[in-house]
Amino acid sequence: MKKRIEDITILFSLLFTALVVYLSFIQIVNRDLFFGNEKNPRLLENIRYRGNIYDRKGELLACTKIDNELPRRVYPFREMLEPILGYSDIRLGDEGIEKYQNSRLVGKKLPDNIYEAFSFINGRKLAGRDIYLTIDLAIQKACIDAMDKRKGAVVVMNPRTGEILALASIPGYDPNGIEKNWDRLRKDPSTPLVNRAIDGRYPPGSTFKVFSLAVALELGYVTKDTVFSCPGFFDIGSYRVHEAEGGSHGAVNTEGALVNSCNVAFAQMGLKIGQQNFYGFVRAFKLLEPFNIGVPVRAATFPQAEEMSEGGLAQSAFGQGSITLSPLHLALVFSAMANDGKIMKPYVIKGVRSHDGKDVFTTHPQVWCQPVSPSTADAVKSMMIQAVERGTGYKSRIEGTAVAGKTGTAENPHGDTHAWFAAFAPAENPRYLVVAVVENGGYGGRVAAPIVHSILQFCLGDRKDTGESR
Amino acid sequence: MSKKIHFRKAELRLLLLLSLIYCVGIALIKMSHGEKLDISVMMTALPLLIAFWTTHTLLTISDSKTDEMLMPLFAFLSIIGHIEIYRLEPALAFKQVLFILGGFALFNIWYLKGFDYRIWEDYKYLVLFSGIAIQIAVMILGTEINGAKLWFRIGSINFQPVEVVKILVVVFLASYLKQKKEFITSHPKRWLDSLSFKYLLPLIAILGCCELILVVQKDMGMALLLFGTFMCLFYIATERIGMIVCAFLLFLMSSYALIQKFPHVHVRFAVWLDPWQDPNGSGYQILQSLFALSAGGFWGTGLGMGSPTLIPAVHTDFVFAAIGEEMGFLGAMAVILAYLFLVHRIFKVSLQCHDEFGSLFAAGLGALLACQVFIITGGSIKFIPMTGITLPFISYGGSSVISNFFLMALVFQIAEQAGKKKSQLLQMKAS
Amino acid sequence: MPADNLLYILKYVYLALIYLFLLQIILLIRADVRRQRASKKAPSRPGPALEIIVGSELIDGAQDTLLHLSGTLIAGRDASCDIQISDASVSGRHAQFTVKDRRCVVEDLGSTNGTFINDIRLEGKAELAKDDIVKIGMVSFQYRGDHQ
Repeated sequence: MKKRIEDITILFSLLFTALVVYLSFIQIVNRDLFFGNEKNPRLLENIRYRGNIYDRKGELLACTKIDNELPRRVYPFREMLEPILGYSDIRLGDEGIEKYQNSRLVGKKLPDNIYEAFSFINGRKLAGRDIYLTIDLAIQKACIDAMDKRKGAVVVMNPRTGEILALASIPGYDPNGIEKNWDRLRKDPSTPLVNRAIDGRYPPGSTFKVFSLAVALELGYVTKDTVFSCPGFFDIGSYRVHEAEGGSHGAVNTEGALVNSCNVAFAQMGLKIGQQNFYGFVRAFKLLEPFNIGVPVRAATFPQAEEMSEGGLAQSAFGQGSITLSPLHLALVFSAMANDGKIMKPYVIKGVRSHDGKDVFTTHPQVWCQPVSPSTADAVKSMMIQAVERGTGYKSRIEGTAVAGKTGTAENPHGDTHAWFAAFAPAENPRYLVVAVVENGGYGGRVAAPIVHSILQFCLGDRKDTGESR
Repeated sequence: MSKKIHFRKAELRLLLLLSLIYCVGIALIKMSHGEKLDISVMMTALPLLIAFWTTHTLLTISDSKTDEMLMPLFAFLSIIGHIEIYRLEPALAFKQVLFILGGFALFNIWYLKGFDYRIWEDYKYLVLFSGIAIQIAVMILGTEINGAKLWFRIGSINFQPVEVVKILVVVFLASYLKQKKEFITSHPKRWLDSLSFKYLLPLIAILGCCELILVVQKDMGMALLLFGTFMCLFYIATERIGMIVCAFLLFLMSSYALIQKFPHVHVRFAVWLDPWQDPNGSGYQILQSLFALSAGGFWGTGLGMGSPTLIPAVHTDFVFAAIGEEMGFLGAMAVILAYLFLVHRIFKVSLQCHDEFGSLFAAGLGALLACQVFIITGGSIKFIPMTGITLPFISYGGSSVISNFFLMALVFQIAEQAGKKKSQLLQMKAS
Repeated sequence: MPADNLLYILKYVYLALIYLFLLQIILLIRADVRRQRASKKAPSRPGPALEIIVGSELIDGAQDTLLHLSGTLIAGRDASCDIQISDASVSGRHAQFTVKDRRCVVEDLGSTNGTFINDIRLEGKAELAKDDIVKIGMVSFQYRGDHQ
């Protein structure tokens, strides 16, 4: 019997050891998982010592103020940067950059390790770290002004580096005192809490012809001199492809097809490309995988190669069918054309600094993928320039600067067509790429192009070269 | 025969350290409130200090032969308990002191009275039935708190009788198993021993009865505790692993049934698996506990510097999380180690006991304590599903504190007898 | 600030003291274990001894399985017996072991179920030879003879 008592003692030793090991996982190994979790009400303390958020030029976008002992998060620019900036609320938790960069922003009351201990004893506070975004506040403002309260989104990025200069979603909301407005915001039918720039999912319409063109050229199914015949319609089995407004283009070459946005030509191009290739290139352009720009972005929606009928393929080629994507996804496609066929990894976080100004982390531009060759990109680019010069995108022409762009008028089941326009400039050495979509806004050329025009003009106009690093 | 005073030196050294720890702890809490350090630190600590130094003196005077580590260990836990309650619910801290003082008083009186614990053995059925009677009385006459009828309310005092009943059940188990184990073990180890069933069946029936009462009363923690203790005692008495495996399988099956049938059990189980499903409702408590623990990290946030009060019921069920937050992983581990050492010393007493019943009894008490600590600690950190039992000596609660001191008093009695018998034997061998 | 610093330092002092306490406990346990091992290894005392080979848990007061015999030892169920056996089939005073001149004699004290030496029921007295097995109730002793 003695031995059995000893056995039981050993059993409990093992059980208690298991407890201690499990505890170590919560308190040591996976500590950040729990501690940085946005549902953690201890974040009130974190708000007290939370880091600030700045734009690329150092403009203060978010900081903590203390009101009667209670720390509060303050956003000087209100709706302008929402929803991308997000908010940090004890009761509601976090969203946007405040949420996904939480572990960097969070500060502490007492030191955690020996290094922090020294500074603490010397009277230094343990504030969280400050985050610098790639966003340019002035450009962001220009986007919001250009959209003029129309529902939709704008993405401005530097195609050579991947930096995102503006990410506007309209309508936005004022994050100051969000707990008071929360119910109203949640129930608002215009969904201000949704970030349309990255989470919006729209059919791209004719803007996607840039993609189809690039793929067709890359695969060699089409050259500059290929001629298409457009009588205004094209039959694929029982499905008939129409031109917008019932027009027809007659005989067009490749460039003409893009410039005039000819559906028939692109339907034929799509068929030549074939489902497998089409889908393969969609994947090559990184449209089918989720990625993180500082906040997570979900994948776009494309029908699988096996599910695409010929008619579906044709539709996809000119951006209809069951394709839906966000303005950011479209920006990635266009950035390839602006950057010799290479897509740079997009990012919103420029860098992280400790509260006393020391650089902790800086994002460096990185090539993400190269879906098409430089020659293909160049060819597409020159056609896009023509699309602006003499085509549907002429409303975005800028005196003295070559702008490469493409309009889009996307049919959708929710009402009027979405008005798209995406362009970059200066075409020979693009520094700014702008994608704008106006929900149910009408014609891309008529509605979206002027928006992009004014934004590009702002970027290029009274600003000296600011595209590169700080 | 001249009586040489045997000074319990080790105990003394340990108690000195404890006194220091206690004062530092109280001081830390006062400082975290911004209060100045003054004599009030000593005033707050004084009652308990007097209590355990008095106990030490009494033990020394009565020439106790017991292990010198036992008292400091449960004194340590009581101190940590008071420090935590003082921090978490200062309004209740004074009551906790009273409970602990009561506990020490009970301990000294019971132990010094020189009760022979063997008496329990003879009255085992009386003990059992009074235990069951008390439980039934609570079910019928008791007051409902937090959705479970587990309490008697007398004036402003809440008394949870199951804390005492659990000890009575252990008494019964120990004596029954001692008597019947010969019959159970005498047969060769075959799988289905119809003969031994004759003696096992009443035991199983009685246990089933107790479990049923607890299930009806919705006290899953106690049910689990009794079951665990029973399994340990059974193994110690008979080494019939086959039976234990059967019992365990039965337990799993009945747990499965319970989880399906009773919503409140199902909720606890679901929350254990994935608290994020309902983070503001049923999962809130355990999530707050996890947040608190993670906030503590390795060294803890410091007494009074964390936010353990965000956890509901932190001064009773989730004290461990508060310790984990403010005293860190190191503090939490220290508490677990203290319990482990205490349990180990209790089993040591069981090993040294020459009387079969005493040995089983002590082992049962040790298993009871160990199971309870494991269940509540495991539940607080999401190692196992949460159940509403208390952390011995540390959680707030008169019934809990006093019953655990009673447990220690019984252990001391057994240890004392074992010590006496040992010196008798030594004399016998020498002659 | 100075108050904050004191708070910060005390936090670690508190933890250190607790671990000091636990360390002391560990050391005491270690010393206890050592003492146990030492006593187990104690050199066997010379003289006749009985080893309990079956049923040692039924014998109250046996620290280990070797019983040193000296003088007169009575085995039985009574609490007054020197070798107390908790077995219903054992009589109150069952048998007696007498040691004289380093020799051991066992006598049945009129027990109900008998004392058996090597499975033969004992009538009266008998001297034990080395390795003889004495069975009283469920307990069996083996005579280890004279230990040198």
